[in-house]
Amino acid sequence: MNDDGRPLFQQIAELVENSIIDGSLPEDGQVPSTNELAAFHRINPATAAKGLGQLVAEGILYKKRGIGMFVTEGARDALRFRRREHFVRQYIEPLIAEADKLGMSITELKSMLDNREESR
Amino acid sequence: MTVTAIDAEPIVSVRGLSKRFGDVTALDDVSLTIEPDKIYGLLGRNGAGKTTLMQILTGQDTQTSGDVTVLGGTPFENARVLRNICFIKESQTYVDDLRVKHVLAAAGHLMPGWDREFADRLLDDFQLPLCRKVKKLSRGMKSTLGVIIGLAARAPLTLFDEPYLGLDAVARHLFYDRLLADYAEHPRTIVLSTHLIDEVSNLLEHVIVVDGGRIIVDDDADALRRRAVVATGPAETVDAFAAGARVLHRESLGSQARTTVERTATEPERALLRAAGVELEPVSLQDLVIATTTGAREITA
Amino acid sequence: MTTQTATTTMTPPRTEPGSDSRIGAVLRVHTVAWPLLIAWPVAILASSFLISYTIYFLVDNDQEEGFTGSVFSVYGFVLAFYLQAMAQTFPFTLGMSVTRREFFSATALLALAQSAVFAAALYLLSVVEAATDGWGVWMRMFGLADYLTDNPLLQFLTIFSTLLLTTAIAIAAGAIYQRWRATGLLAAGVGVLGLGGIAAIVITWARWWPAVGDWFADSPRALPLVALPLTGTAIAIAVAWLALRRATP
Repeated sequence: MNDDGRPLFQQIAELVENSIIDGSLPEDGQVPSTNELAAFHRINPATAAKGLGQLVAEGILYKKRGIGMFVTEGARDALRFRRREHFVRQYIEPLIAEADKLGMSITELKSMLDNREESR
Repeated sequence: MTVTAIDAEPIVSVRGLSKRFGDVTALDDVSLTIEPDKIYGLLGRNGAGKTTLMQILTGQDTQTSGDVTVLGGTPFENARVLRNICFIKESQTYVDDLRVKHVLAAAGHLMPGWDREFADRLLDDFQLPLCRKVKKLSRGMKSTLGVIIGLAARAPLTLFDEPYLGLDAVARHLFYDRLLADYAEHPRTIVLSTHLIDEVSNLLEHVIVVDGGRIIVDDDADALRRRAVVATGPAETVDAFAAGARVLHRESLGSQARTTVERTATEPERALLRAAGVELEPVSLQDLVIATTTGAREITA
Repeated sequence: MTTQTATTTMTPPRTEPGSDSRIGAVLRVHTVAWPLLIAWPVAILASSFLISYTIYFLVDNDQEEGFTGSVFSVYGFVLAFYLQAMAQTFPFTLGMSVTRREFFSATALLALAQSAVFAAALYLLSVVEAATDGWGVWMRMFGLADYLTDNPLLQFLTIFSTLLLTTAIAIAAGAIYQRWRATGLLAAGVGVLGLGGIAAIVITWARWWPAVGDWFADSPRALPLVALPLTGTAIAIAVAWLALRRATP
């Protein structure tokens, strides 16, 4: 859980986001409670609450008083969109940087990707 | 999860606390507050003063100077305050001739919030034999007994002072699990003092580090983690990155250097650094504590 | 699957905790293994009774009463019990957030009650003994006090106050140990012996022994039999509290 530079609560938020993106948490479906998340990941409930709280603030989740937290409609698409931007920063840029180190041009990268697509 | 009172008064308030034993100063002008219903980690090396602090907070010993307010009163010989505190320490004495069930019954008489069923479930989980006499218990079993009492007492202020001597890793993790689960259902203030920092770091909401009788760290756990990074890479670049910030630790091997430095980096900065061959890693709580206590450097909250 | 929304009460229940209920709680801790409290002294007495009885039965002693002294085992038991209470029950309850005052009160109460009960039992046994001519074999095990007085109330009170004195000494010794550890206990022991020694020297030098003897013989029985031990008890208890109130286990 802690092998990342980011605070725990953000990691929790990300895990929940991942579940939404891959469909295991459907829209309008209920999300595990803070206590359940805390127990499962063995972290302080306050941290879990912060993570879920962040998702509520971003509109990804909403609260039904007395029942729990649920996935907002349209959250999946919103997250996918946001992730794409992150994807560029997290994967594309390092890819280019590493390629540079190895003395490969972007054109070479492109042909590598093309080859990959053919054998998919 | 929980709704805390809006104007949450601290449950513990310490100001200018000092404790001297002859010419040894165990605690030196300590000031801190503990807010209700959070899990606090009280970390530090052996002999740093953690146990002394806890003993004064629970009325087992008195301070040489300074003010201590717990649950609105001074703890020493104060029944109103003390009945809401449970202090489990590593070297807890039990009555040797009693059996485990007697000790638990005794705890039940003394602790107002005692949950008998919870104690029974814990006995089962930890496989502690009910009918065995205390003098026949191994070190680990005695620790288990202490841990069970501390959990089942449900005291509004619960302190654990290195309660796991003799507990193996499985038992310790069982303890953390039960602690977390029960804390979630029945929120209360928990202070955990330990050496095994990395094991508990995810449980803690707030961290206090004691070194040489002084408080050198007193901060929210998340904020603390974000405060510093370990930068590894070409020495020049690393040093440039660390310039102007407080360096907690530095090692070098040839042209490579590894520095624990009190600063953060944004995503673009990280990308740039990565391109320059410098990797940034988070500092584990344990490394942070080690770096700050060996160097006795202060990170003020 | 429901989420828990719990309100926290960060201040404890506001009713003044009956300190009485805490003292009651400590009493229950002392007696939590109550079979031990009763079973042990009964067992010791019973076994020494049987042994002595058998001996007296086998050896004919011409109706001359012989005193066995095994009743002192009860005193030994009481001593051991209260020493252990101070050595173990005290640190244990302190760890469970009991105040020293509460512990002390509960222990003192227990000592009073226990001494009364044991004294009553021993007294009754001595009555039976006298009535059966020493259990039919002229054995004298319980009839201590009627060497010294014929008054039944005084007999009972003598046993009671001597038992109480024993508990007080044990509690005081335990308290001194808790406060000042072995050094303290040693110092106290040396102090008591020293004082006793000096007193003996002074009395001898001033040739007061006869006067002391006369006082024991001539004063109303209650004085040396009951008032003296009770005074000793009061002193010991005062010392115990002074030591305990700041003891750190």
